[in-house]
Parts: sequence; structure tokens; C-alpha cells
Amino acid sequence: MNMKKYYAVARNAFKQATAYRLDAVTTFLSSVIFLTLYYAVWSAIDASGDIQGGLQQVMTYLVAGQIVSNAAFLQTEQFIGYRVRKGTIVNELKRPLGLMSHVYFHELGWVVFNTLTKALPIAALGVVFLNIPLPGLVNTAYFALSTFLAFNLVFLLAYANSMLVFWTKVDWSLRMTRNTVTNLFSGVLFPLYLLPAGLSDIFNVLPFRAMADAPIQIFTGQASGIQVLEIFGLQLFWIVIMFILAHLMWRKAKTRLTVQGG
Amino acid sequence: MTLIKAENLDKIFKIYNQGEGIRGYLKSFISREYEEIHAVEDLDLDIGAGEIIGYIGANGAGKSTTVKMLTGILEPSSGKIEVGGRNPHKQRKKNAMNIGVVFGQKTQLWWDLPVKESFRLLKEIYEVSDEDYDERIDEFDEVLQLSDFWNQPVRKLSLGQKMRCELAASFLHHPKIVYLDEPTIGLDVAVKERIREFIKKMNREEDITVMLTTHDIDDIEDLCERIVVLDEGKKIYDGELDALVNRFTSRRMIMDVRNGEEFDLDLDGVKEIEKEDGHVEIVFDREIISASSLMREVLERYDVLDFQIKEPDIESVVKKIYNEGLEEE
Repeated sequence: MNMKKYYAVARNAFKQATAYRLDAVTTFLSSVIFLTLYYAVWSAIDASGDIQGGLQQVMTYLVAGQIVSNAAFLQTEQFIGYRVRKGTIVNELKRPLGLMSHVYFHELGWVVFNTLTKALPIAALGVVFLNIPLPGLVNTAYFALSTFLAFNLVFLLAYANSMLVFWTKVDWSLRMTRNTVTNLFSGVLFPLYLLPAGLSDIFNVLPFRAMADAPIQIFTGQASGIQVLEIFGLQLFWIVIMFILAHLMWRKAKTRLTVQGG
Repeated sequence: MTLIKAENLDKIFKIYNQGEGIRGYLKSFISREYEEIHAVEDLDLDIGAGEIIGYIGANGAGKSTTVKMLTGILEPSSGKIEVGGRNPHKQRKKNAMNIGVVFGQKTQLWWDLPVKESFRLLKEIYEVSDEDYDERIDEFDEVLQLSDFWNQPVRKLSLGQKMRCELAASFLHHPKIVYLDEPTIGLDVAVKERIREFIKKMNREEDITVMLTTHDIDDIEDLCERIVVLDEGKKIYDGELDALVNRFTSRRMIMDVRNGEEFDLDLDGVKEIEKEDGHVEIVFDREIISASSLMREVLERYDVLDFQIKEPDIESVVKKIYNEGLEEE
């Protein structure tokens, strides 16, 4: 694999993303609103009783969740959906690149942009206004790696999901559904460690946990030592499964393209 | 030397019917009725290196579908394709290194980025060296004048400017074959001419094979010696352009004749005579009777006041093919 080709795709995607600077600002603001709202809600809960680990830990968890989910925020369904509807997907298919790698590096360009313009400002905000403790140097590196793995997982799910565009012809609702389900089960909306045992089991067998809760646990320090390795292992496990799924979906979509015309 | 070879190529699409109204829509979830559309049927192609082929036919004749199969994007329902000795679908990426493709009206340029960024990406994708790239862009600039808008974001370009970019992009990596699907659609005459000049130059200097689908008569006339005509997925003509024109349009002799109402002529090669108020039109076949001997015959018998000969033109041939297929007159 000639990496230069793919690096060039990511670079252009990053440059393209900077054309939508305003979008970055609004996403960032929505994160601020989310955190403010949640701070109010969890303060109220905290005042009326005991939260396991206390308010500070909840807020640290939620801020970390915002960092991860903003960094790995993808709109793959729109990217592919637009091209399928307009028929310009032929432009990706005429090139000496695989479609999945092409889209992957395009999204990677966006992740770099998201990290710089959304995730890092949120982290700074958390530190300044909510006194969120940052992890040490080693754990920060682990957190970054785990967030990268989470991005891979989100990408594969989004890619598999976006193949449905070949049937539905709409993309926006596909992304919204994926986003909502992911947020709900991954730990972005509420700390998963607060779940009662029975419910927790359900969350444990789903792949979404590895998309946010996994790096969050490293950020908050809930996972340490061997547990960090376990987290990586879990994420890699789901990446393999999702990769197979994404591949199968693409193969199925390809026959759809071929029986129905570009 | 054969570069593109297709044998018994077939492409069938399934078009799923969605019934009418809400009931029909709900029904379509359960029973999936579909029609089969034969987009390309039993097509044979044999295209040599360095040719410029005009691939023509009405909308929906199967031109784009053929191009998508030749470029490896679509898999044929049956039949065989070899492009440069490769199966373009099975070895799509390898094949893609040696071809350039323009799908008219489907831009591959990065909308919000300056033109040059799209080209830099292509440079990496097609593994063009720095030196070659600089040379190539300068060379293209001479004919296509890309430097006028090289640093502008693509969204600010006119249709003609975008098409000049698309064209340059498709030739950037010295491909062996370039497929151009409607490259001049919607462009003004000056841009069209520039684009044709560019295609000719590339073909002449680098022996790049060009397959051109178009509805533009001037494109065909100016660029293509050989044309392939497709009608409802079937190849109905494959050969020289001139031969097609001669075969499908008879010449007309138009005259004003004294006592034209009585005009009659019984000669071999005269196919049809139309009369109206002393105005006579003779449709004749040049292969059987020449214009001069026809004129001689007419002058012997009638008093001709004025006359002109109408040459066949491609436009009428193409229109005829689009409207009624390729039946002989």
C-alpha cells in the first residue's frame, strides 16, 4: 500500500474541513451547552443524594466523553450518500484506490480537524471551568491511542451503515440513527459505571462501549495497569468484527450498484 | 494492436417497481417486483491503440453503462472484457492506473479547495513524479489555460473552467486510454474548440486512445474517424464516419423548373421526387448516379431555372439515428 496516496487524501480532507470553520464553532458551542446542562442536572442529583464517585467524577467522565465523541465525530453516511445519489461515486471508483481506504483516510483528515478545533478546546474548557483533572503523560498517550481505536470503530460502523444508502437513498436519517444509538450505549450521554448490574451486562456485550467508555475510563483513571490492555483488547476485538461487517456490507452494496446501475 | 476488447458483452439492470400511492409503497416492502432492463446487449468492441472512437447513441442507449464496464466500475452480466490484457473489473485498481476518465457533469474536483489541491492529490494517487508533474501542468496550461484559475476554489469556476480541469486531470498521468463521457456538454463554442484541440494534441503526441461519448456533432466530425453507434444497447454501426454518412444520407438536388408539375424522371439511382409549385427535389444515390450525369439528364428534358445540391451532413445522420435507429432509407 502506497501511503503517500492516502496521506494526500487525508490532507485534502483536512483542508476541505477548514473551509467549514463555522461548523466547528457551532459544534463546539453545542458541546458547551451540553456540558452546562449536564452540570446543572447532575448537581441537582448530587444535592438530593449520593452519586457513586461524586459529582466531580461524573463531570470528568462526561467531559472525556465529549472529547472522544467530538474527535471521532463522522458524517460518513453523508459523504457516501451524497455520492451515491448524485452518481459521483464513479469518481471514487475510477481511481486506483480501494473505496473503504479512500473514505477512511478522508475521515481521518476530518478527525485531525475535529481534534484541533473541537476536542482540544473542550478539554481546555473542562480544565478551566470544571476543574477536570488531566491524566498523566503516559495515560494521556494511552487515552489518545484508545480514542484513535474508538475512531476506527466508529468509522467501520458508519461505513457499514452508509452502505445502506444503496437501498434507502437517504443518508441523513441513517447517520442520526447511528449517532443516537451510539451516544446512548457508548457512555457519551451518561456514565456507564452508574448502570445497575443487569443493565450493565447488556451494555457490555454491545460494541458501542468500545467507542467512548473505553477511552473515557483511561482518561478518568478508572482503568489502570492491566485494565488498560484489556480495554485495547476489547477495542481491537470489536474492530475486527466491525471490519468484517463493513466489508460484507460493501460487497453487498457493490452488487446493488452493479444490478441497478451507477 | 488491440487495446480494448469486448466480446458478447451484456448488462442487465433490475429496476424495482414501486407501486403507486401509499398502498403500492407498502406493498413494495413485501413483494419486490422488478423489470429487467437490457442496457447493453451482445456488444463486441475491438479498439486499437491510438484511435479516437466516437461512441454515439441516444440517451439511454447504453453508452455510459459501457464506459462504466470498460473502466471496471460495473461488472458485466455476461461476456468478456479485456483492457490492455486485464479484466478491468477484477483488476480495477491496476487498470485504473492506466486510464483516465471524465464523467461529464460529475466533477471529481474538491469543491471548496483551490484547483491545484485537486491536482496535487491526483499526482499522488497516480504516482506522478514531481518533475513530470510540473512539466505536465505547464504543458496543459498552454492549451487549456489553467493558470487563469489555478488558485481559485473550484466552487467559483464556470462550467467550462471546470471541464478544462477535468480534462487535464484525466490526462495527467499519461494514461493509455482516456474515456470521455460527454466532455463538451453545456459548454460554449470557444471552450469546446479548446477541448477538442487538447484531445487531438494528446492523441497525436502521446498516442493516447480516446473513447468519446457525445451528442455534439462537431465533436464527432472534428475528432473521430471511427464511430460506434449504439441503439437500445445494441451496436448498430461500427466503422468509418464518412461511410456512415454516405450510407445513410442521400444527396438532394433542389431545382426550380418551368412546368415543374409535369416533372418526371425514371432513372436508376433516383429514389424520390418531391414536387411543389415548380419546385422540385430529387433524392438520389451518389453511388449509382453522379450529380453531373443526373443534371445532364434533367437539362435535356426540362427548363431548369435554378438549382442547388444539398450535401449530406452528419447532423442529419445522427439525428436520424437518434430518432429512428439505423434503418436504411
